[in-house]
Amino acid sequence: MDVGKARAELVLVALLLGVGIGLRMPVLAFVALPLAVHLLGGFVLAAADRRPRLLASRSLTSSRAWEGEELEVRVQVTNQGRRVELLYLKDPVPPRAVILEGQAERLTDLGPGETAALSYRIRVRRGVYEFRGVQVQAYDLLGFVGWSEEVPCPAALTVLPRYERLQGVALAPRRTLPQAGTARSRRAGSGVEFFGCREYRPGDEIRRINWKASARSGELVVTEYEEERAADVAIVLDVREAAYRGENPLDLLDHAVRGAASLVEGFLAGGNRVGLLLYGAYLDWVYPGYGRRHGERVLRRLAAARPGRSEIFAELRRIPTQLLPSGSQIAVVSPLLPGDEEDLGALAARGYRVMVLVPDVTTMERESLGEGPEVELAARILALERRALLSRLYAARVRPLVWDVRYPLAPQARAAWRRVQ
Amino acid sequence: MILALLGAVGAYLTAWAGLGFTAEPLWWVSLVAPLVASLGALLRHRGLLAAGLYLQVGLAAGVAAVGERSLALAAVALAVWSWDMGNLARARLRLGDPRKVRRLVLGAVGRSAALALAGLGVGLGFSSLRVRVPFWGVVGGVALGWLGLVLLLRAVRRAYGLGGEASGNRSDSVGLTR
Repeated sequence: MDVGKARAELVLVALLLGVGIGLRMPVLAFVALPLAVHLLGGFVLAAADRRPRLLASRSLTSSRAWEGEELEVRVQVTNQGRRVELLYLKDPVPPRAVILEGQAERLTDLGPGETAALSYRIRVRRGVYEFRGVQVQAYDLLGFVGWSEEVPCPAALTVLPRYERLQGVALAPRRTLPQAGTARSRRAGSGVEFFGCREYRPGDEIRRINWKASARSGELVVTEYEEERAADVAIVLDVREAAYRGENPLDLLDHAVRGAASLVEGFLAGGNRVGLLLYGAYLDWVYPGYGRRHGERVLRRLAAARPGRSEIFAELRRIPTQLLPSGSQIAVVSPLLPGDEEDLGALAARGYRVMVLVPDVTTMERESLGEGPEVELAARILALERRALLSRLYAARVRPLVWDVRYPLAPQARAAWRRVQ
Repeated sequence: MILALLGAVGAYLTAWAGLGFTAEPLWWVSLVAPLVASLGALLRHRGLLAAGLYLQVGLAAGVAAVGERSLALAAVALAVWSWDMGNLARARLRLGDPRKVRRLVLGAVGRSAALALAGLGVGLGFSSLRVRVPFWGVVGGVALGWLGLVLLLRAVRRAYGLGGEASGNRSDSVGLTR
């Protein structure tokens, strides 16, 4: 309860009375009279008609949304007590959300049984948000007694990252699963990619006979195709704070999360078993699985990803490989720090197939830096450093894919994978 | 805010009138009182508003001691009204529905004016009384008055609960999340 104004007046009255009596100057006591009447009257009026008993409820258009989507939030506060003369309502908006329409705060009076509503439309960014309550401040008209509290009206909102549909994802892990998929298994079977030729054996399909090769060799030869199977894929999203630099590190992380979500959806669509590892500030993972429900689970975990700092997970070499089946495909999504290429190379040397998706921070920052010789020089130096890093990655048998985040990922990924094939 | 400024200037002019519009060089130092109060109203600063009230009431007390008592009381009443208006300006009035805000402001202005006038009336009434009260009677009366105020404050504080919480104000609603 805030009685600051009343206290200030009380002190002044006491001061005047004290000095008046102490110095035997009754005139000072008379000067205190208007103040005392004001204080008493104001206090009595404030106490007589103000006792806030409020109840709040909240409704959201949806508790699950995609990033960039618009949502309507409506908070209703009902007065179950006596009249509140000045009521200030404020609903804390989720961080990084933009109010498009309406207001999240309001000043009003509220009679008994009356309801005040806050209604606004917001555009939200990726994240998991907990709406707790509406902040309420109630005062009498002259502000003698103030009261503030958070009236609970909880709600949860999960804003999932948007993703692109990636096609033609080139997977070539050392170990594949028995199920059919899109990963090249390096064994003959049913598939579409040419694998080799061998002599005809009874039982082979006639349509598989390679007539030209048979004519050349003088005996029947059949064409074999590379069998495509499902694979274990681990998506590793780097959430080390140090890896996300520049003016808007959270924007860069959002791009990385979108890239990871696109990879997850692309691999799941190919029938692969996909797991997720958030690595950096903390260690969080989703065990490998299949299907749309699993995809939703992974997206929800990606929605909650945030950067942080940790001594334990400061280097990529400390990725816990116990969580990743040996011989599986690892897709790391990271802007990369100097020295990471060695750690990724060590993973490749252990038998993992490693690809790395690098959201390019330099292209993202370039537009905000403007033009000038210094900017040009810095961009050239960074491009050279980037090229050197890529060549070191290639040498370490790691497949990099640098993503210019100003443009969609899908065409860039398709072009890169076509080059690999 | 404008009302608060008018009140501060009015209180100063009334106090000046209580001294017969003196032109003593020392008098101009008293300009600091309306200046601080006006600054508080302009900046909507709680501390400056309180300091302005203290200075204006102090100035009125000085005027009452050496000049016209009734005008000093009027200056106190105006200072108190200005202080109310300054505090009202601190409320986020722009966030309200204009029609409701106008009604709220009119109510606050009326209530403050009524209280200030009542205080002025009581002050003038008491100052015109010619009753001889022994010194210790005054001390006892003041002590009793003080005790009454403190008890009233405590009662209100207890009524609204301690620690900034009002009793019975917990909502068990989980919201209408769809």
